[in-house]
Amino acid sequence: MSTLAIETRDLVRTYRTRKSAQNPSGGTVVAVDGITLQIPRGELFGLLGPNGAGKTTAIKVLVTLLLPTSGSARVAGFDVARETQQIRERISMVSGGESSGYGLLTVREQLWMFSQFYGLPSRAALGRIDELLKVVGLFEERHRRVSALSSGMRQKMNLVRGLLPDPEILFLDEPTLGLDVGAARDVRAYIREWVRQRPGRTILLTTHYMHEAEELCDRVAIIHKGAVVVTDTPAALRHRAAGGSYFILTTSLLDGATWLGQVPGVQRIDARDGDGSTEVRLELADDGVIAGVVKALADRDRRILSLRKVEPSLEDVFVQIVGRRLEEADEAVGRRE
Amino acid sequence: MLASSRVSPSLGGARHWWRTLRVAYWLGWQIESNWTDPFLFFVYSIARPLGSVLILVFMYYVVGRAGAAGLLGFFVVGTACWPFVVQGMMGTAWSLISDREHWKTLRYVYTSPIPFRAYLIGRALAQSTTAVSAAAVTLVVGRWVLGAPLHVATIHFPYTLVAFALGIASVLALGLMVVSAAILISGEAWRMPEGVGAALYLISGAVFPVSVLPPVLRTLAQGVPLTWWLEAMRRGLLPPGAVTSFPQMTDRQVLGWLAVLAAVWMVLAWTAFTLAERRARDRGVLDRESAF
Repeated sequence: MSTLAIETRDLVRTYRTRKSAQNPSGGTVVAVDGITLQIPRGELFGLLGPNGAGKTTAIKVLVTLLLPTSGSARVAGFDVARETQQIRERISMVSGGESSGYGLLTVREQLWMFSQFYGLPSRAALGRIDELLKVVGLFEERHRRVSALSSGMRQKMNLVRGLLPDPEILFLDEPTLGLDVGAARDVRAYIREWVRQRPGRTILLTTHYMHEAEELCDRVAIIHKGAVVVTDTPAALRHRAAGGSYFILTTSLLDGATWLGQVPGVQRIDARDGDGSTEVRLELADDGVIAGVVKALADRDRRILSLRKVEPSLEDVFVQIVGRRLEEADEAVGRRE
Repeated sequence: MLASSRVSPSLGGARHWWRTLRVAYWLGWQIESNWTDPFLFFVYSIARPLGSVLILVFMYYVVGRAGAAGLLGFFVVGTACWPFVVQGMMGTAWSLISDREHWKTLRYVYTSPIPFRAYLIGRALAQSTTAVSAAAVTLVVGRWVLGAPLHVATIHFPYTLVAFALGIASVLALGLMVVSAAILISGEAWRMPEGVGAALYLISGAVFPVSVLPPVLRTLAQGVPLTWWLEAMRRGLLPPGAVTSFPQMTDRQVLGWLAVLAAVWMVLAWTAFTLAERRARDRGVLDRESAF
């Protein structure tokens, strides 16, 4: 068994566009541009990027809906172009922001039907369906027709559909898109719980919500214009941004703070005098250095009024790498479309 | 807290094929029989085939005046069988199109570990089942109202049953052919099955013998298994001497041609679908909605 749940090498996927008045010769759109990823089993991996960055196309290739134009992709050790059946037995997919479902079936019927596609014995499947419906708070709706569900309820039902076969690898494509705050929180909480209960199961999550990636993912790849620009843990990515974390220290007036730069481990210091106090921004070699800074201030009888550690967010990382905020990138895509 | 043990799936092989077929049939039947309005149910199941029969009566009397009164049995059997073609063949394509466009479930069904052809065939069989009432209404009205020569004593039941089974297989093969095209197009996919159905209605001897067709169309008709199916059904249901499309052939020869063509078309359809499916994945149109 491959130790990698997902592996892509120089994966490229292009689309040919139709000829139109605006585009008389047609053309080729590069949706995924040479993505190379290695996702080990048991990881919750996030693809973070604005709309149109290529996240959904990448997922479609991995779940065997699309063939790669060039490069290769393997899921659970199987080739996406040739070994589709082996892959499909090991995965499932949930997409957010859509209203899929056979509207005239009840919730339970719909889920039972999909459980049969995965070869689950009927009785065990119904037990599992009820269990999962309880977990996502949809049990009371089990005999309602799918067409009568709100979009949030449908999303939860589709999450249950994705989880039913207990897949080795779960693809979640914007799973909280279009959900209200409460429903999105429920979905995230359940995703976390599902992974916690099942070490060894892998999730590939696409999202354009920074906080979602930060909250859920073990590692994140930032994808922009079809290419992966950086891959790391959220903490390491934050650390990369503008020198990583820093401290903001407010003391009684210092009248010059350059001497603080002499404290071993202090890498950079910016001080600003205010009304009877000084605010100092400190970048340190490591967090332990702050003890030396505090001692140096105490030796000079300077009172510490406040001290806080500031972590850069993924948003900072994104801005630094892509050159604009995620929302701005989304808007740019919207304008192009 | 959920049990973390995984339910072992029993995938692969004939058993999974059968299970998929059964579940797809169940789904298709849920969709087809979803009549919340009895009036609509009446219109669909009784009035529509009755309307077809009345059109048939009109045609019969017009043609009868031209000296073809013996065609009544030919009309009745052709009209009774045709709903199986409409529902079965077009139903295969419509299952795919409605999953993609209306229910938006195609990507989830397609990426589940099912034999996708079994799914499409199961859905088509469910649609074919809805043709049973139309066929029954047509045969009953044809026999007892119009006086078509349908008598229990002269019906060749084993022959008719074999012909019917081969006919349904042919219909499914044609359905897979049509779905092979539908999987590659989105915008016009809704219209295509009806167009194919109309063309087949014209050439496969549904309402008049293929012998009256121009030579080119006649040759074309002989390559379509539906022509032989309708011919075999008439030979099974009508007494000897009734009007048929191929009077020079024996019953056994007709059934033989039907079996051969059904097998050939099934192989062609299988191949066409395999190629179309791969092309759809290559072009990225498999789950592309047309915003219809």
